[in-house]
Amino acid sequence: MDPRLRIVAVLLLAFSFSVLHEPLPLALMAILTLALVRLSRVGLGSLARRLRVPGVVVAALVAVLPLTSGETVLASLGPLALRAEGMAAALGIALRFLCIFTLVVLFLGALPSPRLIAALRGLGLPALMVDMALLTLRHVEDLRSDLGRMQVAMRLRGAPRGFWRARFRATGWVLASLLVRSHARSERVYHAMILRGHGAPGAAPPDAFARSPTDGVWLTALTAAAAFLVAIEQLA
Amino acid sequence: MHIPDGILPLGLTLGGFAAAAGMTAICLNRIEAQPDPRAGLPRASLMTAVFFAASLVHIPVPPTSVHLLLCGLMGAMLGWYAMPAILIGLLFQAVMFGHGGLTTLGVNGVILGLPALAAFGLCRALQGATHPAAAAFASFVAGAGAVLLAVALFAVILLAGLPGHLDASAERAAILALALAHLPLALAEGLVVAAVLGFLRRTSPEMICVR
Repeated sequence: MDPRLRIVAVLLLAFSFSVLHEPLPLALMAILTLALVRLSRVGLGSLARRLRVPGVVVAALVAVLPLTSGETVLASLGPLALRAEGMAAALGIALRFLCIFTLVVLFLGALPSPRLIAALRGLGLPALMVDMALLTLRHVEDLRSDLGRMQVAMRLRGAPRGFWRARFRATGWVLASLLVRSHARSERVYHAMILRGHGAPGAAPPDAFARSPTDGVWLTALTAAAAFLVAIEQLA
Repeated sequence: MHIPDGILPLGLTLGGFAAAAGMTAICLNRIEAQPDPRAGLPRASLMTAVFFAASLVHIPVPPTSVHLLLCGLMGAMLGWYAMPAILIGLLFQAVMFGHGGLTTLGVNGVILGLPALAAFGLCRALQGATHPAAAAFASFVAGAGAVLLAVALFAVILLAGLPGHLDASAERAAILALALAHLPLALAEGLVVAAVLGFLRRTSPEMICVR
């Protein structure tokens, strides 16, 4: 599917999912997401692995709701009581999060980052932000390796002890040295890109995207599904 | 400090997108008005990479965990470039790691972008401070203050976004606990930002507070 249409489709679906609260539309949302998982052939194991960190954050946010919110007590253990309204709210939040997270993985997860940025450029992202995003990708790997080397060097030289010196000042100075060193390299790289014609009018043609007739059918079907879910929510 | 998908109502997420787009447009206009708008790009992309990587490092603060925000440092070092840089960092985090969210990209951009711009304003206002202690204090306030402002925005938006029929006092208590967990982070980040800016002031002052 054309990456630009993927972005449009995932945004449409994600925003329509975010308005669903009633049990029937929530169930239909889960079914639609599972159908998309099946069609995309992404393994559930791979989804679960990617869910590990963000899932913990959402779990922490919703875990308190069933114990603190609502009037109808379903079960109680000492001072703790499981309440129906809080449970329903927590389940709704968790389900919406899971489905939107899955959509992002399915539609954008397998898209290489430069292709994603090119698609965003095709959708009107300002040129300055496009360049910033492309350069950022380049710096992430460089920074990771530089930081590792500097931390090892710091330990070998005997990192300073004490709360202020060791924890914050040393960390700050390592970060600042890293920034100074990487900044010089970053400017060299960018100037080299400009010398090679980057950003000059007509110098580098934008990435071509080919939109096939099937893409249009997919986008129409997904838009219809999103509209159907919202309509069911309004009627429920 | 990133609100995930599925929590906020549509009005808030769309409002967040509108606010973030408006703030970004203002920032881009200010950047375009500079003599060489692209001069700050290498620094902005470098700081975006640092922001992207730093917020994936979680520091356990029982019963929850926090991560470095660096929005104060972004504001102090990038000025008007901070807002677009934060949005790009958030987009990468959401797409690559599911950290934050796609529908909440605008809201999260406002939560971190506003404190960054406030830190930039503070840094620019106090640029004349020559005494090292005064400059260090201003840097600490920019770093710690940005975290506290981000926490306040996060708590207010989350409270406004949770379903209305739930027990308001319990929600408030839970969100306050989450906010309190970030107080040590504000202190730590203030100290780290003071050290970073102190170092840069001595070695590469041109890297701080672009116009």
